Amino acid sequence: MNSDSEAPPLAIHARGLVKRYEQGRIVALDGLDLDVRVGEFVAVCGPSGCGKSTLLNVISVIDRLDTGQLSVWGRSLSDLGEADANRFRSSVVGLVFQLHNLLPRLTALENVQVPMLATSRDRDARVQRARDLLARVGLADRQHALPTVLSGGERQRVAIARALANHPRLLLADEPTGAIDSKTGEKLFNLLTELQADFGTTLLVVTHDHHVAARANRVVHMLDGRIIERADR
Amino acid sequence: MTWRNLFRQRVRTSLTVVGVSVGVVAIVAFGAIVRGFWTSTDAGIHTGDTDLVVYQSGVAADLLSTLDEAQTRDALAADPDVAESAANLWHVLPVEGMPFSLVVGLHLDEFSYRCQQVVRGRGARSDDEVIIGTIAERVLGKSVGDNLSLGGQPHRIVGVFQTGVVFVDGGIRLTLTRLQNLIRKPGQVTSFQVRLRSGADPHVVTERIERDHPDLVAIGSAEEYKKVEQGLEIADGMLWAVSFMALLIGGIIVANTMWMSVYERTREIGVLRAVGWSKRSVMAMIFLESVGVALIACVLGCAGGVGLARLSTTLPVATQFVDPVFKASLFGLALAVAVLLSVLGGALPAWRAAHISPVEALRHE
Repeated sequence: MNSDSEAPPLAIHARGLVKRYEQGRIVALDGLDLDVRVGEFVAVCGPSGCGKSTLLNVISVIDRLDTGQLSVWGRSLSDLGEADANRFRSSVVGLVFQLHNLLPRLTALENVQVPMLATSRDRDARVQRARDLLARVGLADRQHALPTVLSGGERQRVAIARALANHPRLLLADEPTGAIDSKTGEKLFNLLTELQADFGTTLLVVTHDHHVAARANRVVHMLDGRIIERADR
Repeated sequence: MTWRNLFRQRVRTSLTVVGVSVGVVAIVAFGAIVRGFWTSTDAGIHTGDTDLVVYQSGVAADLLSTLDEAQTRDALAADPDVAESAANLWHVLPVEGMPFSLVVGLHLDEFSYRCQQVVRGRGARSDDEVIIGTIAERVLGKSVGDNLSLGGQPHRIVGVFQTGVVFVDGGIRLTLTRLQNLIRKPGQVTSFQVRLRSGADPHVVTERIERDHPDLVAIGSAEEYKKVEQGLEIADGMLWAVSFMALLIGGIIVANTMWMSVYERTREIGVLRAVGWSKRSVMAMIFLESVGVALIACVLGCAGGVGLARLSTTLPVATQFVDPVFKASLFGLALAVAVLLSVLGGALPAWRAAHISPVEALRHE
């Protein structure tokens, strides 16, 4: 058993996170505490509306906290300005959404390049990186396909490749298998965990799927904006 | 990405391009015609090495100028820098197939008549002989040897002249005395063409004529033409009005298209923001699309404007007067209008796109 001093450093350190909507009538996060260590795969489970997606939104700085302390790799997110928040989203975090959210007019190859447009002016490097990632997720022969002709699983694999485009240290996935069948979802999670191991990425996944949760290093259960149970493996 | 976004709604983008192009067509076609008027007017003033043209002062249109021929000739002869002068009587008459024809009466022995470049036949030698311009020849379908009825009296066409000035070449030349009789203006003329002595300064002579003879004005260039004719200035004003309207209407069309496009892509814009695109990058994307629409419209509009202006010269009523001139500055104006309307039309949608909350956008259905 590892002592604390030997444990990997904290990737996410959250204390007393509060986020309310509609002038305080809806409390999405209600004093949530959470620590995630570098390289960990943590699954966040809980009923709909318990604040899981809001947690991912505030960690990825696409939404802001009302109160609380949140730091990622030691960097406080509370005082990030607009430009720093953009940089953080493009270089530290990779996002996988429940619905793939690919841009419909762009090919798989172009979709994977979209985050890199915010960080790199080197077109050749962008294309090469996108090709490598599509090959890594098993879509080397589908790079010129539009999302409309891809299957649900293929779309999510493109979305994962896109999330990895800028070498993120933290991969956040919001119900990544929620819109695909269980068999495809199983394969997708195999891929996600392989990639996590390959790239050493820290993985935080929001899921309803107990099979998915079972593969995580740790599962946290949320209810009404708080973490009510932690289960280490 | 910009092109893909532009053509995701092909019909809407095409209609927007057409809507904006119409404004550009109007600017280019109308602008070329107006510029042609200015160029023709300037060339017309200097026909036959004329330095100045003298009209009656205080008239609203050059054709309304009425000068006493003998009195004005004496006044000009008294000026030390005037080498020679030639009387002109201008009148617009319906002539056979042409609804308007510029008929000019000249003295056969004066330089204004002598300098006519007769390309077929010869010059007139008597009151019942006329020469016609090359454009009038084409429009009338008559040439040397044919008869032409003017004011109910028969005349014989003895020559065809060409000056290169469209409204001059669309006209008919006859003797001044005959025209004075035909329109019952004996002893009256419209203007005098003036040649100055070598080394004389036209501006100095103009000032002196106008100072010594307040009933006269002298014109040495198209820019001074407003002394006797407001038409060119009005046409210029109309060009600016057309440009402004094109800008306004085009801006609204582009804004509407871009606004709808942004609304439809709310979720996509949310994704872009979520993966790290800055507000500025999102705004730039929308602006680029807006500029793309405007530039396509500009190119099509310029081509359409050139076509329309050229087409207008084939109309019977316009062929004698319209000679469009396509200057780079005109296309520059069209481009400036297109760019400006893309900025105006794209500004609000781009601002909205940049300020969409990524969280809200990702929830957008």
